[in-house]
Amino acid sequence: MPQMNMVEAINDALRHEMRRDPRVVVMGEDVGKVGGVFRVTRDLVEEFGTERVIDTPLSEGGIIGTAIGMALYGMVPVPEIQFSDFIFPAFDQIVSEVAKFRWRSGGEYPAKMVIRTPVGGGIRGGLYHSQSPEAYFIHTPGLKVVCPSNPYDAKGLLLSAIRDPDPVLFFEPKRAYRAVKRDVPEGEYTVPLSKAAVVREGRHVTVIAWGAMLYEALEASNRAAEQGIDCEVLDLRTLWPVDIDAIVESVKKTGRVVVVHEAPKTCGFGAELIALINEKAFLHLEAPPVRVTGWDTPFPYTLEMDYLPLAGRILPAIVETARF
Amino acid sequence: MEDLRHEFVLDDVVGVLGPDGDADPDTDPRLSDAECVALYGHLAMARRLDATLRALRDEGRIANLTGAPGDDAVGAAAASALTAGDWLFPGVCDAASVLARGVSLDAWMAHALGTADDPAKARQRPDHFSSRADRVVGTNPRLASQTTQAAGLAWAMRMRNDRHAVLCLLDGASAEAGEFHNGLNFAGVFRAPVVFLSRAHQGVAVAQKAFAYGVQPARVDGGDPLAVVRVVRDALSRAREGHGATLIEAQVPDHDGALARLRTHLTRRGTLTPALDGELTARCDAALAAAVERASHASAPALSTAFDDVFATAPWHLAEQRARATT
Repeated sequence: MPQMNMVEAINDALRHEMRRDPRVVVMGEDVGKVGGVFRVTRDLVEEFGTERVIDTPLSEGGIIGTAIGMALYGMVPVPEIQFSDFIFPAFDQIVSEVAKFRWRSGGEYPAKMVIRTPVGGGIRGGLYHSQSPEAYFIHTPGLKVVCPSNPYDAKGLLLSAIRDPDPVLFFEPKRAYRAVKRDVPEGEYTVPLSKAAVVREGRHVTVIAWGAMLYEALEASNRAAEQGIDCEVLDLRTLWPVDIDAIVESVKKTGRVVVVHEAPKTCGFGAELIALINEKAFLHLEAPPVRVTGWDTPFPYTLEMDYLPLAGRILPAIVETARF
Repeated sequence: MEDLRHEFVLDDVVGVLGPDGDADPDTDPRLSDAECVALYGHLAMARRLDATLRALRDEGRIANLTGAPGDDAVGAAAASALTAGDWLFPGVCDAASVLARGVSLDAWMAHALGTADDPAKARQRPDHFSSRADRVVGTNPRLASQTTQAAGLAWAMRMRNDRHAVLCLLDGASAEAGEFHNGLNFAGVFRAPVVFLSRAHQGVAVAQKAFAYGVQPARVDGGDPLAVVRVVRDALSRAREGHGATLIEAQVPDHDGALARLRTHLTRRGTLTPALDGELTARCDAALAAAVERASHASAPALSTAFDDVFATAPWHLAEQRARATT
């Protein structure tokens, strides 16, 4: 079985699905000849041509607006936004149009597409190449939000996302793009949406993470084990609709929970997760749920490793929660 | 890129009807008598519908309306140039264009009065009609937001060798919105088979913006329905034949005289008598009254349907909310 990093796995998924389904087109800024800013769409144009691997004008609102028209006609666009920090010129088309088209047309016009975009910090990208805007989209009815942590899941989740009837925001953690290699099967397989993975079983504290922060959560959990604290680590994989059953099941077992995310704390997805845990597992809680997140500041360039909720910040939260 | 300027002089405003109702043979779209009477019927319906909607609004039965007088007549004339395989993106307050497209008055009134019979399940306020069966894509009230979508749909048609075209109706100030320029840019780059029709008021100039995007410009007298048909028909043909997008600027007069001008023309042609005119108007009013009556007795959508179509299948959180809302 070939070993791939996440960039190669996503490229493989796109190639596989474009061979399988002629409705699938890739579009975005420099996705053709250049192969995208991170080379995720490398060489696709050679196989599928410029009609299916489309270099667009540099306008995110235009990319998503035209992708909507293509979707209404019955194509399956997979637009790339170069960085999730650049998604905001397309924000209106995504939240007012993509998210609402199926509903406002009484089910007649689903604007089904998969918007791929790199997310997160830790690559010296600075303020405008590092942010994690998932909460805006989770808050908007009608959008699904996915964020894989490893190459195997990235391919399997992307194939599920492209085949899903609803629009999907597919956030690719750029810090994990080339950092991890895994066995990735050639050809067909899928990872279902809305299913979390228990990547470490444990009894004392549930640690919830996704994307690049999963590795920090695992590192912190390994260090906690040295202090006799046995963490269970959940990789959400799909952020919305979230796998609520997996979360509740784990929290009922441990009674303690730490949520980790890169985005700012206030109104971050962690707030929603903890509200859901309170609604559905309150009587099982043994300690107040804790968030370890980015600060409520813009993303700093020079201090990015302090801003990010790395293992060194997660570990004390785990210990505090375990000993509450 | 070909130099579009050879084909267009900015001062050219296409007109057909002279002051006495005669058609200019150089620009006349040469509609048959039946087509011309049908067009007249669409414009008459636009006027009577407007009166009906204003009455419904004053009774508090529908939300406020914001259409500019005369825009609806331009939209109706333009939509009458479409064929069944074409697509229409109406603006807001473009009911007349939707009816000219062939949508039934009952379906439209179900939409306006928010009943369960609306093809879009009564989820938008009046005059955002949507129906896939009619290839009508309902819009969002933010001006020009449909411009890129129309370009994208047209571009997809071209990729699929579908030899039809898209008509995108734009309201007065649309050309001031960023999305207008995005849409023109994408349509120009991809030579998409789309016709943008911008209703312009008080001499605002829009057509020359087309040059910057490699889109064919055209300018038409919006108070002259035959001229609108002619220019839109030509632009749709051009799109279907693979020559790309057109931006039409329809100058809409402050006082809408489109119906009167077409009446003069039809009378001069000997196709319309005062008796037939009266009969057409009475038929519009009767159809409107009947449609309002039927919609008034239809039920509103069930509460539980609010949770449908957010996603293809309601996930756990919507199932929970639906259960709580309906018990």
